Amino acid sequence: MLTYIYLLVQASSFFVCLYLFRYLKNSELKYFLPYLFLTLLVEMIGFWQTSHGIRNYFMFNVFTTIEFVFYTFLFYRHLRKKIFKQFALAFIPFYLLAVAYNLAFVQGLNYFHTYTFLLGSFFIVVFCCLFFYESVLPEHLNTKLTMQPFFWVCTGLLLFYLGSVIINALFEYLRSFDMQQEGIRIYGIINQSLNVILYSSFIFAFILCRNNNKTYSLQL
Amino acid sequence: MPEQQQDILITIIVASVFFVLLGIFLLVLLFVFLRRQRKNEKEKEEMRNHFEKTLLKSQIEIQDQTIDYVAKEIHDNIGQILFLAKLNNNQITQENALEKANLIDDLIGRAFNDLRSISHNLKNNSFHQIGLTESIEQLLHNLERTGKFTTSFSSPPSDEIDGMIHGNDIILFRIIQEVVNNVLKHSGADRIDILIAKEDKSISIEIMDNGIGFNPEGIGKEKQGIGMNNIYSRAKLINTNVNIISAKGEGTKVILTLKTQ
Repeated sequence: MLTYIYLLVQASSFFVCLYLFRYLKNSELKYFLPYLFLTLLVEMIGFWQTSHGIRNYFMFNVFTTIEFVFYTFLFYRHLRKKIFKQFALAFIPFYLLAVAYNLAFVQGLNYFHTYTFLLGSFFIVVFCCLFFYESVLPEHLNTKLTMQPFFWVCTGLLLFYLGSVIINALFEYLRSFDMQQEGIRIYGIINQSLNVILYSSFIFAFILCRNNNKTYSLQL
Repeated sequence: MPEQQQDILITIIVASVFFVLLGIFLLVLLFVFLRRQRKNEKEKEEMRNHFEKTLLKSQIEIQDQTIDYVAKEIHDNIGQILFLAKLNNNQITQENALEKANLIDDLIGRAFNDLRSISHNLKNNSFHQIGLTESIEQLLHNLERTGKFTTSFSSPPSDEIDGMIHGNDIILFRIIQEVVNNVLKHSGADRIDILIAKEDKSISIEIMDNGIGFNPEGIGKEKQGIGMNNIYSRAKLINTNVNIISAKGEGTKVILTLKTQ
């Protein structure tokens, strides 16, 4: 049941993004359109494969790597301090190298890259904190935080990666023979619940972007 | 499923929920912090506005005092002299023509000198041009001119003082004027001394009179006059401490301590 809700929310976020694209095209959120399309595609394939008993970690390894690069790129575009921007930019090649090394020499292609996934999660949480830090600086006090679409993206990411850190750290354990039934179920519940929060926050950010655009038009 | 493994799964769920709650707590903290910061900024802005308003008010009050002084001088002094000259002019006869002409000439000369003095005062009365120390000197000089007061003024070189209190000088001068006004109105004093002393991180200004004095403890308890309110509120605005030392029959000393750093 939760799987369907999660897929529905995810698909909704893509369609909302598509529907509101004319409002998003002038903002950094425009990059969400291809990304959400890819996400939906991967999730649908993953759903189909899982229901047919096929394991495809390679696809998820590639996709989650793209996911972290994409989010880091978004932070690179949204962070204001030069040093933070450089930090985000430097993280992208570093992360790609780390994943390549992990898949080639450590965990291998046929396993989920939990180490680098956790590394990515950690850095996304750090970027979220940097974004929040910048938001409380006196020079940015004039803009109301809850009216900024990226704040909601950031909130979703923070809750998602904080909440999923344990299940991803124990991914292999949860999928082990002893725990297989309950472990997968728990993994699914937590992961999908967090995904619902994440994609809902994206939807909210898109709607906010449209509302802000309307407000500006009215002011003009 | 063994009980131990069930415990592990429960722990995983609890830990995950805990982390999500941690994230929510972080966000709540962020909002509380932002709200407080905005409130502080608003208060700062209000204080800035209040300071600017007080500054403007002080400038207007200084101008008003100057105009009052000029009006009083013209009415009480020059007006009287010219009236006397007119009277003498009306009393000219064949016999006293020369004597009256000399007297009128003398009176017109005095009126002219007084006018020149007022003009000089007005010309140099721009606070921005002369600064605090010279403004105090002029204030005391005007008091001396009434003949009712003797005054003294002591200060380090004006450029040293003016440099240290730049930005607060107008408000500080208005406080001193207000203190002097209180002395004139209530103390019955005939001597006013002002002493400016420069200290390491502050400047102290002592305004002393030899009037009837009062019990300073009564200031806070009894109804405080507008003048005293003005002194305290303005002093607070420029980070100045007001200390009043007085006793009945022993005059009053008001010490203003302005922190310069």
